[in-house]
Parts: sequence; C-alpha cells; structure tokens
Amino acid sequence: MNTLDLLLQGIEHALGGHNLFFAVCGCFIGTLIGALPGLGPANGVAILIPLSFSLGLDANSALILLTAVYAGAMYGGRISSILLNIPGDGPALMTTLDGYPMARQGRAAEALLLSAVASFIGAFISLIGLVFFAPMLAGVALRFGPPEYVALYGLTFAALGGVTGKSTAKTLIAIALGLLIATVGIDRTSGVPRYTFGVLELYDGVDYLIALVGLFAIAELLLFSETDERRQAKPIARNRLRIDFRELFSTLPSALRASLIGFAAGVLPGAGASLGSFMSYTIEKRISGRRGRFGTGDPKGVVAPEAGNNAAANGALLPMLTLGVPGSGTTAVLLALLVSLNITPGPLIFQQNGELVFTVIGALAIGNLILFLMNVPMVGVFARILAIPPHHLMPVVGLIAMLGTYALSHSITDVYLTIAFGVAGYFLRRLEIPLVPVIVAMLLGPELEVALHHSLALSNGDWMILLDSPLAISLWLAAATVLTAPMIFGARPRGRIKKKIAARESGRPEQFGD
Amino acid sequence: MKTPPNPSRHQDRIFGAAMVFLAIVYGLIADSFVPPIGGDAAFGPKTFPIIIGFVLGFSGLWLIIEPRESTPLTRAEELRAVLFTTIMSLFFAALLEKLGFILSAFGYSGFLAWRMGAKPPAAFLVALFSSIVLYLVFDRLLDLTLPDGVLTALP
Repeated sequence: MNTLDLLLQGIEHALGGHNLFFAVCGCFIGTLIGALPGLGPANGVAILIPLSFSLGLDANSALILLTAVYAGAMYGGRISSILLNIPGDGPALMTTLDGYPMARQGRAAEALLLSAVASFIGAFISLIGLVFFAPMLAGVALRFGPPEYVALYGLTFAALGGVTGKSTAKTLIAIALGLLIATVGIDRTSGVPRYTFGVLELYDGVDYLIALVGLFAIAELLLFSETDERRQAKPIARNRLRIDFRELFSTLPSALRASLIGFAAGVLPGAGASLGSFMSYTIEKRISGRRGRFGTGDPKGVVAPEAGNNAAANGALLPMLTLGVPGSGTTAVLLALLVSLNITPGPLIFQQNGELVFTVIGALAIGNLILFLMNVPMVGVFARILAIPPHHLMPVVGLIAMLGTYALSHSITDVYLTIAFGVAGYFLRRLEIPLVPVIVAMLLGPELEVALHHSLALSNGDWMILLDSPLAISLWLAAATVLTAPMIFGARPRGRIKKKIAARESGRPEQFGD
Repeated sequence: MKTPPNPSRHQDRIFGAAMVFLAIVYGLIADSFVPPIGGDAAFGPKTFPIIIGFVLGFSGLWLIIEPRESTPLTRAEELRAVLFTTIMSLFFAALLEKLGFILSAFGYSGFLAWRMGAKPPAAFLVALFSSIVLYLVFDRLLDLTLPDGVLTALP
C-alpha cells in the first residue's frame, strides 16, 4: 500500500466509529492539561495511559485519544501564557513574551486567535513533513541488525542527554537507574530470575506504567504541595474579538518560517518543542529587526513561537514513529503507550505497524482540525477553568493518577508502589536528576539487552561486532555528536531559556517542557 | 516569599556516593546469577547488569568529583508539606477498599486542598463535589468499578 492510501486509511480510522468522539474528548482534555500551569503534556498523557487501558479501548482508539491529548496540550499551553503570563507548559514560555503584553493592551482575544491560527499552521506543515519523511526514514530501518539496534539505543540515550542534560553525569545516572529497574524480574534471554529477592510479584518485573504515573504525576503533586507561593494569578479579561484580516495575513510569512524551523528542531533527536519555539522566536525577532516591536506585544512574537512549538511537537514524532526512539519527554510517554499496546519499540515499528503509525498521523490531522474549531469559540471556557485555584485541582489530579494505577489491576499494592515512585521522583527532581531518561531506559532496557545478546551470539562473543558495519559506526558517531554538541553549541540557547524560566519560577527546574 | 537557603554542592556528593554504593551492591548481586546449563557463555544473565553497575558507579563517581549546586532539601516546612501529601496518599490507598472511593477521596482531596491553602469550608465542599463527580464518571460512565465501601447501599 502506498503512503497516500495508508494516510487516508489513518484518517478513516480517526473518523470511524467512536473514534471521532475520542478525538474530541482528547482534544478537550489535552487543551485543559496544556492550559493548566504546572501540569505539562508529559504528565497529562502519563496519567491517562493506564486509564485508557483499563477502559479496554482497542489500540486504535487508545492511540487516537492520547494523540489528541498530545496535540491539545501543545495547543493549550498558550492560553495561560497569554492570559496569566504563566506558561502552561515549557514550550509556551516564549509565547508569554509578546502574548501577555498584547493581553494587557486589551488585545487578548486577538492574541488567542492569532496563536490558534499559528498553531494550526505549524501543526499542519509539520504533518506534511511527517507524511513525507516517515517512509524514507523507515526504509533505513530494514538494514538494521542486532549490532545496529544496540547503536541506535546508544544514540537514543545520548539524545536524552541533550533533551534534559545540564549535567551529563546526572543523565547517565538516570539512564542507569531506569535500566536497573528494568532488570528486575525474569531475564528474557536466559529465564533466570533477577533481583526478585523471592518476592513473587517481582517476577514479572516492575510495571513501567506504575513508574510512569508515579514519577510524573505523583512527583508533580508533591512538588506542588511544597511550594509556599499560594498566589493565584488573575486571568486578564478578554476583549471582544475583532478579526483584523490584514494583521492575520501579515503574520502568515512568520508562521510559515517558524513552522519549518520548528519542524527541523523537533526532528533533531533531543531538541523538542521548547527549542523549536525558542529558535522560531529568536529568528523571527532578528528578521524583523528594528521594525518589530518584539517583547512589547508584537503579534509576530505570538505567532512565531506558537507555530514553532506545534511544528516541533509533530516533528519530534518522526524519530519515535519510524525508529521507535523518542526524542522528547512527551514522545517518551507516547512510546510507553505503544509498548503497552504490545508494539516493540525499535526500527521495525513502522514496517510492522505502518497502519498504527498512520493512525497517529491521521489522528493528529483530525485532532488539529478539531482543536482549531474548538479553540476559537471555546477559549472562554478554558479561560474560566484557569480561574479555578490550583489547590482545588491538584488533589483531583492526584486522585485520577492513583485511580489509573488502581484500575489497571485492582491491586492496592500497585497504588502503594505508585506513591513510592512518586516520592522517589520528587527527590530525584529536587536533585535535578532528569526523569525522562529513567522511563525511556525502563522501556528500552529489555530490548537493548536482547539486542546485545543476539549481537554477541552472532559473533561468538566478540564485542567488536558492535562496530562492524558502517551503519553502526555512523550511529555511534551521531551519538557522540549529539552528546557533545549541546556542550559546545547548545549551552547558549539553553542557558537563556533556563534563565528565563529561572527568573519566572524562582529556580525550579522545568523538566517536562515537551 | 521566604528566601531559599543557599544552593549547595553537598547533596550531589551524597547522592553520588549513594549511587556508587547502589552500583556495588547491584553488581555483587549480579555476579551470583548463574546461566542455565547450555546457556550462552559470552552473554549470561549477569553481563548486562554488570555493565549497568559500571555505568552507575562511574557516573556516581563523576557526580562526586563534579557536583552541581542544588537547593538543599532541608526546609522543615517544605518537607512537612511533602510528607503530609505522601501520608494522605498512603491513607487514601489504605482506605480505598474499606471506606469506598467517595469517602476516601473526599477526605484525601479535602485535607490536601486545605493544607495547600484553601479555606476549610470551600476545601471540603469542592472535595465532596469532585469525589462524587469522579465516582459518577469513572464508576457509572466509564465502568471502571470503584469500591463502594461503606456506601454499598448506593443505587
């Protein structure tokens, strides 16, 4: 089947049966998650995975629901950026720079509309990129043998250092901890039980969904409960919307440029949507030069980062969907969803599950359309929900998180385990140990071990087989580049993003930006 | 807002040392794994854990040598708040099947909201409302069967 047929089939999946309903629900929930400050997209999707599971949704519906949540979260972040001057999620940080000044000038409605249009453009351009590049990248996957798998997982881990890394040592510790948890249970290659200490429940290993909900959602709740700033920002009232078509058209070139930049930034392993919005904003600012009023409420300053971060969010799906390696926090969580749908992460993901991949793409297309239609008239509803104080909302988030793991098996032990992971996650976050690598290592650990095992079986125990093919060598070289590049080039933008966040959040590390 | 205590590098050193210790224990346990008869000699059940142990030990040492600054975890009120949330979560888990979802969720979110800064009447009113709504959504609408507990007489 060719790409176009697969794409149409994917869209058909997304529209068929109850799936359209799931897409609408997902978009709504996602926008909320994105809009609420503190609850990033990765956390939101993490909470919903066990639930979608226990609801007994089939693979397609679960994927569509959660893809819609992902797209919605990327859309929602801008609402609180513009109305509260607090980014709903990491990537929406740049939107505050011009969005909030616009709102204060009484142009909140325009800022919301322009950013909705920009988000839509960004998402769609990157979707086209996704459809175009995915089969190309997937073709490479056919040349992968076990040694190349090992190299690819090496590249993934290196890229994670780029996403989260301030300290390479801390990223390495996070990866090692995740791998360590993954080795608990019966060894897949030899059948020997490891680190079970005779506890029967541990023979199956530690459920990564429990770790996911604990490390992300419960840890977030604990972090929230310790903050002593109880102040509640009041959203700026929105004015009546006057659509200024000239303004809309004048920002179109910015939106298009930002979409391309964002897509490229998203595809790069380890960059993610935060970098996408940051780069789009800075480049747009440079282009308009002195004519622009960037930082004081320039519409282009709202359009560029929004188009950029939505494009990057979709771009980040490219390595995940074709090679099975996540490049950002939220895509790591989406990978957890794929694994729980019994899909093996790795380069064959596209070959073996092409239909599912295109279901995701179809769901993104439909989801973004729904989001656009939903966001323009309903932005008032979301703005009103923002006015609910977080101390009433966070306990509910905690409840839903625990219900999710309880519903998986109806076992209270699992809920205790979730809480334990939450406490561990809290301390790790306070020590600025990134949590995304822990989850990715838990997901990829078993695959990595099997690939190593097969490689060494092929070579009769000669470790040099790992460097035996040009493809493996180039993957390792890419890993080395990705690992060292942020130290050389990335320090500046990251430092500046960090500084901005630090200024706003009094030093709290922002981890689940994208 | 209170000024946070000065950032310190000690935490990273302590954590690094703990990781080195964990790596050693983990590696020593790994050494006792015996491959099944006829199993692979080159790559047994202990090979991968030993590699992980080395990575963990190495990066722990790295952190001891090159620690970063982080805000110390020593503020009593912060730790108290985190402890409170943790204990409330544990209570919720312990009482979920005994009291049923509605009551335990009501207590959980009411006390948490109050502790997080809501006024008591509002905290518990919202908690009552949200626990009933969550029950209706999950149990009735989504069919997830939550425990009824003492409220078994519910229709």
